[in-house]
Amino acid sequence: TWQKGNPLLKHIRNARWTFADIVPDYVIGQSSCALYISLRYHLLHPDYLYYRIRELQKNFKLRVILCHIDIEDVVKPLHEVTRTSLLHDCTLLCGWSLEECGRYLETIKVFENKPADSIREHTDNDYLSRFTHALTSIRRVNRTDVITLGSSFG
Amino acid sequence: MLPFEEQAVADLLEDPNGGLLVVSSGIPLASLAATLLLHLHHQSTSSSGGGGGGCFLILSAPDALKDQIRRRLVESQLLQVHDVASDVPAAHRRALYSSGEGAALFLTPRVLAADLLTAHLLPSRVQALLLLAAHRSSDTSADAFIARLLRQHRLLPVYAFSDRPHAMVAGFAKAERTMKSLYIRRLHLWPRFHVLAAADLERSPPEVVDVRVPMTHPMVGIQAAILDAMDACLKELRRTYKVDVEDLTIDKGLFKSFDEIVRRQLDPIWHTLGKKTKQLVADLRTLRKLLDYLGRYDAVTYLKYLDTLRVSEGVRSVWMLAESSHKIFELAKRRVYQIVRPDGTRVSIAKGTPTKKRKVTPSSSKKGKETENEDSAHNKDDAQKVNAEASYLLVEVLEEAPKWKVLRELLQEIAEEQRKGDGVVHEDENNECGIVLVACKDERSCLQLQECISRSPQQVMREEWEKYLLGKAELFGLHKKKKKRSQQPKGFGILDGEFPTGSNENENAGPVSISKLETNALLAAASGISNLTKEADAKEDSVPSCGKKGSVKGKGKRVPKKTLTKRQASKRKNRSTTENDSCQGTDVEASGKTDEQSDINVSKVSAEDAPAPASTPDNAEDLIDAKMLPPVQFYALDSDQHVLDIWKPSVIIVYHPDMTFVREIEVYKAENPSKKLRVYFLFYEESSEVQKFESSIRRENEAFESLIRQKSLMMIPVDQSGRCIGPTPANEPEPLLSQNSLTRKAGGRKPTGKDMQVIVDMREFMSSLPNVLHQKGIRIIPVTLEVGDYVLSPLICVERKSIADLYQSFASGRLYNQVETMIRYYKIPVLLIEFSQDKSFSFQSASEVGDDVSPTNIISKLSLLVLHFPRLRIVWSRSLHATADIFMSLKSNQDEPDENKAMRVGVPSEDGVVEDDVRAENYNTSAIEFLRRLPGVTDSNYRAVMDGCNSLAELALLPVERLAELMGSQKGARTLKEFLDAKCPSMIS
Repeated sequence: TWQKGNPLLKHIRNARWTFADIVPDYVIGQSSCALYISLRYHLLHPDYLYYRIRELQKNFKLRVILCHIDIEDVVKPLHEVTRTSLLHDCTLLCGWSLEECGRYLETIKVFENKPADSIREHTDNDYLSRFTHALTSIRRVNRTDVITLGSSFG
Repeated sequence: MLPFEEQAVADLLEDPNGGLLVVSSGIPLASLAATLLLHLHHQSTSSSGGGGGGCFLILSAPDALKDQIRRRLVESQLLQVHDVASDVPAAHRRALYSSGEGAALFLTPRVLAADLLTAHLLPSRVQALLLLAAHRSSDTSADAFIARLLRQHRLLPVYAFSDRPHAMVAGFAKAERTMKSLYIRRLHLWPRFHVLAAADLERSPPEVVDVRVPMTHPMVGIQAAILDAMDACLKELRRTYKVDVEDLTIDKGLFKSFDEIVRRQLDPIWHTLGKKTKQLVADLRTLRKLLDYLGRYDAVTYLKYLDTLRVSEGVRSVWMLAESSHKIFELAKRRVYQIVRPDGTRVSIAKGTPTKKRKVTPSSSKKGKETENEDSAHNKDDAQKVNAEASYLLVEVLEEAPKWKVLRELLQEIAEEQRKGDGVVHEDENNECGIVLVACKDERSCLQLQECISRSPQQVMREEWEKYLLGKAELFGLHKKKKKRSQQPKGFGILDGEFPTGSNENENAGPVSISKLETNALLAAASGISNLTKEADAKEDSVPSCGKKGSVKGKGKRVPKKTLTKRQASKRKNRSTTENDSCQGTDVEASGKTDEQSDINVSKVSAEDAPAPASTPDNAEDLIDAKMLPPVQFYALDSDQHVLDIWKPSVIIVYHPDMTFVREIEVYKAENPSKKLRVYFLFYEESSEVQKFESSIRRENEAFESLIRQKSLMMIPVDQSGRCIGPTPANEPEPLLSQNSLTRKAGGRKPTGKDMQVIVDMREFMSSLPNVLHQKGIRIIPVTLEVGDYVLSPLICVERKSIADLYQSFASGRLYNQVETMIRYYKIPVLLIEFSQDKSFSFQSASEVGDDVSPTNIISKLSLLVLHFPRLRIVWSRSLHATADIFMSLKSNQDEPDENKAMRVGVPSEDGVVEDDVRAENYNTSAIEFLRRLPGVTDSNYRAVMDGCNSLAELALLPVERLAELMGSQKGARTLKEFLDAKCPSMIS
């Protein structure tokens, strides 16, 4: 309910959303939720994130901290956010723009029940792509070289 | 050893801290390093009464350099030399380290760092450290890590060498930073223009003949077109306002380092660049290559390269669509063949008239062409007869590289002179004036030149051409199989989607585009040739001593060749009598014999040669032939062996000019002042070749001037006893830990009394993170880990991914497996996504985040990973140093990890405990990477496969049953076998 007027929402176009009275910032699915924090805000309120995480308790399997990187000098604040989320069992995801942050939320929603095939080892049945894939593991071999090699050695 | 080299070594020895020596490229680092080693050895044995001892470590020496140093050291017989490759078992290595009564050890940084950390090698056993590629070290490199590990314990000299001055000035105060990180105080510069060096080298300069060869018209045209295209790309790049224009000139564009300049400027904003700009950068690289190959490759090969380029680059590139690129392709084609349409009427070509037809073509036919026309008449007849049906002509031009002719003339001239010389001063000279050395850029052009001289250039061109046509024909065959595919890859010029079903379609030549006609003509010619060769094959099978048809061919083709070989053979025979006492005497005879043979039964040779293009040419055989053909020796500059001292040539023909080689010649001459030496340079007139050569010299001089300036301003911190302090940690941010401890812990006392320690996978020593961690004072324990890259505590295990790695391992699915196993064994599995300091800190620009969720986007992949592994923690790190800080704070309230336990995690239990011997080192890691990418090979079975065969070559020969046994699955074995045996249909895509 605190999210009224949140600029991030206008970047969520591929999933339906609604306001509700919830503890985290976003509830994405049955067992997943997300907290949003911008590094700028974190610099002003270093303890904010910690209290928000504590509120969550253990109700969700996947707890995402969506970190919006909106400052130049990131090292120190990002370090703190990383540490906090790691020690409190949260998964940190970084976005560099509101679009990107919104996209993470959308994607997690859309892919909620998607199998992991696209990131697992897959066997591409096209010979050339496998050939290229294998040969390019050797340093200094690029796609053009693969074709040259292939056509000269058969 | 020249006086100035002695002086350089003496200078180096002055400072007990060691020094950094930068020389012009071409000045022999090997002899410098070897002399230095011998001096050091002498010092230590004389001062400490022979007891002091300890070994000399030589790092990152390229193979060629290694061999030379070894040779020199072995000659002196004072120092033992050992090459400690990374596959030497640890126990053996330890023995080598301790055996050293002043042994020189060649090592790779990765192994050495690990050995120092595990105390296999004690710093007290080391006398000095030599780095032979100083331009590659920086404060986070493995070299610096090792220097620090050694210097922490005791003062020992570090000597760094570099012969790439321009690499030493890349970046801000590179030389100074390198020296600090290596604990070196002194910088010694020995440019070619150093007074002593110049004096030594110019005392008795060799006789130099500069031969300028004019390029043919098409070549000039191509060069101009490429330069146009490059210029256009550069202008386009400037228009983006993202790069510093000053550095970007065509002149600089000729060098590889140009890419680095552009990269350095663009890297921090790389993600904000549009596709077009990125493509421009890639295009510039392609164009530079094209320009380089123009002078190096023959016309047919060049065209072939352009073809493949078109397939692989396709529509993506910018220049491909520009007008000048059209010109490049057009001209390149014209150097090989032309299509002539005989005025719409179908002319059936009679056998008697081909010469006439060829005159019609406005080709760049040269003086030497007439004979060629004659000899290849028959062959062309065949080709043209086939073409005739398709109602147009394919006329071969097959332009030879102009340098070939000049080279041949030069050789004749030299032979002439030598013969005269032999007549006059028979006794004292004939041992010396032996070998003519021809230096080219690469192995390939060596072979080709070899062929050109031993046979005729036309011959060589023809073979290339036949190969080209056959390649086309093969493709055509493949296309027939997959009719669906469009014919684009082999189309020339304008592409049109229609598929020509056969030559009969071309009867109505009106609507059919020229490109199609061309393709067909090529194919027809190809099929003609393949038919011919097939027939020849058949003939050869049935009648071993050359049937009628073969002889016809032989007569037609071999006439000029016969005379040529005869002439050459006679020349050679003359020589072989005089030169028999030289070391290559036997070779001379052998080659003489082969020549005679080839003279006697010409027809037989032709019969043998004819099918050659059909099968793949046996290069190895050619190579042996090449070696057997004194007095002309060919030398590939790429091979990087220093042959001058071995072959002792009296005449050198520099076929492809190269600055480094010129310097080598100078040094060689200066070392042998009594020897007569004549050097011919072959330049293409007004070409980029000349320009490149000249600007390479200019560039080096500028680099040295800049280094001299830097040296005068350099500040190297030194402590009271005069030893170098090394890199100051002042510019690094104070670790967060100590800041926090001020507030959280009472009185800001030190958080932990004992050392922090981190277990690091052996393979991670390729990266700089272990080095940086060590800088922060963390103890590094190198072991081979099966799961994860770093173990911070019994609970925390980290898989580190650089951005490129991340994309790659997402694509290969490896990341999924790695995370899966990490989750299985550790409570807090961490994926570390590490960005590079000098690149942008983001995946993509905001504009690149599309409207829809696309499954290929990195965001989608990460989300999917997170969804499937809710327990996975992700750490985002801005840079190496940030990573180190994060590691430290993560560790701060955890137990220290146990190396034995970490090592056992994930290892299949039947293996039992891993022995002390570290397994990852015993395999060639890039071969493993290759193996892992083959279909059917998975994380679970690749180890068994590796144990089952000794090399990739052996793997390819294993039968399916054995594979299935090794891999534990029939299906996997079959996929792998099929993949290995498949024919490559690479040109269709």
